[in-house]
Amino acid sequence: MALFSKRLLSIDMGNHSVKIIEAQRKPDFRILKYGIYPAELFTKSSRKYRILKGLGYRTRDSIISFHHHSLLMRTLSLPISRDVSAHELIQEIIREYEIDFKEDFDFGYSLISTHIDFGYIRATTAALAKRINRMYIQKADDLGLRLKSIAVQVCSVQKIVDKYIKPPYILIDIGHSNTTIGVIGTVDIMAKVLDKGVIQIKNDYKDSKQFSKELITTCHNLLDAFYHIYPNEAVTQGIIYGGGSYFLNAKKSFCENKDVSINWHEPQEFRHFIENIPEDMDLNLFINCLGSILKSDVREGEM
Amino acid sequence: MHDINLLPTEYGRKTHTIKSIILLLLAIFAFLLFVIFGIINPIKKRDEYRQQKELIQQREHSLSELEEKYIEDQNVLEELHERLESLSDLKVSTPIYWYKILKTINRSLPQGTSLNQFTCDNTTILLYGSCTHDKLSATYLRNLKNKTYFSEVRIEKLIYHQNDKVDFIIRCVLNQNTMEDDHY
Repeated sequence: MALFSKRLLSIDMGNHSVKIIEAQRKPDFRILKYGIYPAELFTKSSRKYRILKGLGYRTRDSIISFHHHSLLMRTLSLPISRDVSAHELIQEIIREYEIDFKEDFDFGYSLISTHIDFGYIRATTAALAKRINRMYIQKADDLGLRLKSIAVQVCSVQKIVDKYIKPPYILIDIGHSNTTIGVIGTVDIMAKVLDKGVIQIKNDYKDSKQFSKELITTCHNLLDAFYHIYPNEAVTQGIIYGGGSYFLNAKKSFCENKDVSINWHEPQEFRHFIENIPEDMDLNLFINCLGSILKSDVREGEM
Repeated sequence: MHDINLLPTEYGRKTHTIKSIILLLLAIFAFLLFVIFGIINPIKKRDEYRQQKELIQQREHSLSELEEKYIEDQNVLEELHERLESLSDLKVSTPIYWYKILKTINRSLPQGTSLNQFTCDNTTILLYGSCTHDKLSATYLRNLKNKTYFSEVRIEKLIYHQNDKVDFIIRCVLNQNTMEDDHY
């Protein structure tokens, strides 16, 4: 019965391809079905509602994730107030963003720590352009999905990488049209999404060079920002993944770049740290999807 | 760990509410089923069984009463039967009855016929006699048969002598019904 199903779908809604994992979380985590499908399959069909069933996925309960350059990730220090809740305070800050960016945002947050003595709490917030978020919600609705969560991919991947590498580390997810760069600290996450991806690399060599340059610059900027707040933390590890990493041969190009002295890893190295992963599953492509489904914020009551 | 959910609360709440309503309805349904089949039905059945038990007990009681009455009636009947029998015996042994029998035996004798001996054993009477012609013995037999006092009348023995004289023995069995009728 779907109402009490312990199955969950994790869908990475990419612009070029859609990665899907169907898994059961209880009693043991087990991947039941997974696949990678062209995005066109989900946009051109007139009977979208039946696509997933046709592909053999049984549950409709799902977590979706995607990356878009409108994503804003900030770690905020909020004053503790008896009259105003943390949610209201964050909402107020998001309103300021909306004025600055001239864009309405949907937002989510995670409280990191409370410092009663100093009178503030810290929270990691993520905000995404409302029109984009609602567009993906509509897409999910068209597919007949019951949305449980919209995951922030950087946070999802952290769930897997943390088993292998201790923070701080840097993440680079090169997608088809967007690229996410994130710095995961012991408490904070900083992330930026570029509206560039494989599509630029494919075009010609010049674009590829330009893209690599932009990536490195963004990495530098993020690291500088991170070191500014946490001068004692050294980012020495990095993970490059996403379909674009194959095209760019990103690991190699970053290794050759002396400006970013980081020990780079690929997600395939982590597969031994995750139980019940099919041997032929390419973590390079499925890490976002897998991380989302392993996230713990989908409570039992929502299943 | 940073678990951030970008799903707007209204979407989450919507699905949660629908699910909650469904769960609540299911819970109510399950509770109703429990109340109906777990409490009300057993109580009803218990009451029904109690009523049936009482009814059966009442029937048993009336049956035992009937049985007692039957036994009582049976006893009365037996008693009456015994009284009847004793009365019957009393009747049978009365002189009036035997007077009538003897009178009948005597009056049935045609002219030229005489009785020599008379024996009676329980309900059987043997008449020993003689007559001048065998036809007279037959007439005597018919006369006796016509009387209701005897259920069976037959010639037991005929002895022919010279000059047509005949000695006869006639067996008569007393009619029980007539005996009883006479009682009443």
